[in-house]
Amino acid sequence: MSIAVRILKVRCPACGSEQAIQVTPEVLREAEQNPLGLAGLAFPHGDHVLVVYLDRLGGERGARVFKLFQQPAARGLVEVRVPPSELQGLRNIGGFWAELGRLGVRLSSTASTSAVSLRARKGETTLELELNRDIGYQTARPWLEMLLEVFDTSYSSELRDYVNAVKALDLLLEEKPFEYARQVLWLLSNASVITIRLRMPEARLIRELRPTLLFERYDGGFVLKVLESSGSTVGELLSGVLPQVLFASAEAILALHRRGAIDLVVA
Amino acid sequence: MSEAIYYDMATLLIPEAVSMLREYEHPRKEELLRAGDKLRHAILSAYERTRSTPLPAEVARFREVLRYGLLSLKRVYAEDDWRSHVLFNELLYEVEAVKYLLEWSHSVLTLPPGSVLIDVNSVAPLFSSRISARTGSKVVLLLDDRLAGVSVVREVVDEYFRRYGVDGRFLRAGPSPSSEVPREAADGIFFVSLDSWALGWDSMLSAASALLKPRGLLACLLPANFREGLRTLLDFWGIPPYPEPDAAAAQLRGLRFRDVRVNRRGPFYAVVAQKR
Repeated sequence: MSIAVRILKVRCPACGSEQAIQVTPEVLREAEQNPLGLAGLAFPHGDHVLVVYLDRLGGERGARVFKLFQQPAARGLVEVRVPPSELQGLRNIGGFWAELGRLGVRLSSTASTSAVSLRARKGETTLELELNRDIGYQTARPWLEMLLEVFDTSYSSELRDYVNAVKALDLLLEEKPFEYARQVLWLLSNASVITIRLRMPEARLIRELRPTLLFERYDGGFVLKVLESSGSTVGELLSGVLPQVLFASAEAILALHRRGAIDLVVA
Repeated sequence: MSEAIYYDMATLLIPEAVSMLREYEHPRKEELLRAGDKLRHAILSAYERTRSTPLPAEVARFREVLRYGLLSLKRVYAEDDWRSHVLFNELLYEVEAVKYLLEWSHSVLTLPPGSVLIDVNSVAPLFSSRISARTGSKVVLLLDDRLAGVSVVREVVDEYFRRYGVDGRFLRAGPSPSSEVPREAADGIFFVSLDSWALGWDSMLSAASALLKPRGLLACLLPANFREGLRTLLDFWGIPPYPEPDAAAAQLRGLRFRDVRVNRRGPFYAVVAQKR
């Protein structure tokens, strides 16, 4: 058992109860390894879950309440269907289903005729991908496991976020894993709960001096839009973005975060 | 436009650098505080010379970028936040003099397709990525232990390689860049970044001599910090003074390099040379 580094007290915005939180070395380590430097701790409160976010120094970085789709006492999984139009244009993924135990939801597309499927389970989350073509177990497996891990640590209750992450994975299946791939998937699957906060002078300097990479290899118009969007959620910025550029747009947001021009904070 | 105004601007940034230095722990804090103190008269003279002179836009940009660099130093040492260090490096590439010299180096380098290029200590490997995108060269990025241990640096390097479609990898180098790469394995070696300047001119020369194949190309972008103002300011990043361009060229010729070409702009110069 870990010894708490310190204990925080947070009041639940939904029911008003006071929650004591033990900040343990494991929690700090989780924040250290998280793409945005945050650890989310979940506390079930009857019909809702309080999630408190801590940074790598153990400081509180926000709290959110998620309504459960179904009361824990009657804990089957609520079936939510993804319309076939959502997966149109995907090259590799023909269909998928995901059981998000934490939300009490089973999210699934219409069954496809794919011959190849891959399934994995972690914690309260199970994910199965149906692939249009055999892209090789060794290629697909690391990506499936990465998405599974991301889903299992995501706290978004907006199901569109999960569908968008699956769409991004469709493109990633054609690439080798890279250093920040997990961050892209994590950002997409949490898009509706992450807010952009501008940092000065970095945001201003990027607008004025236009570093080459950001304006030569990303959509400069989108970069400028992000730099004018303080207070918007990532989900709002990505809405209306074509599925083909969803991934590149998430990458552009992370590129600005990586340069300290924006902070990504839990709304 | 006289180059002197750049040095005056650098000199005038030293009081800001010293004042900020008091807010965080720099490994050479006392030494830098003393160095800043010694320049009191030079600072006053620079102030007198510049106070009624309108500042050209490119000098104003140079000052703004270096001023941000000082803030980035504080963020690294006080908060262990390397994001600002990455951005500072990228903004430095947007300073007109640097941009011009990198374009010039880019245009005079002729590399065959499939070359192997070594880029030393670039946390934002723009130059090697663009050359690679043009020639299809492979890039080996050598990062010293301190930089290689920073996750945001590794992510940015990966980002450059992905966005420019570079066949690249990074290697963790010990104290000397030549310790990790086979001798005479590179068709080109580049020292074009702030963190490569911290190696010093002699280390650059010995690494280039050891790692380049015969007829391999060396490209350097260097600070003209043989003159005061920039010399003390860059010392905050641990950058030693570099020789004057003519002296650097003569030294290269003495080390069996040929076709030595030098170009100077503002407080920087670029050197391109070929190993015999």
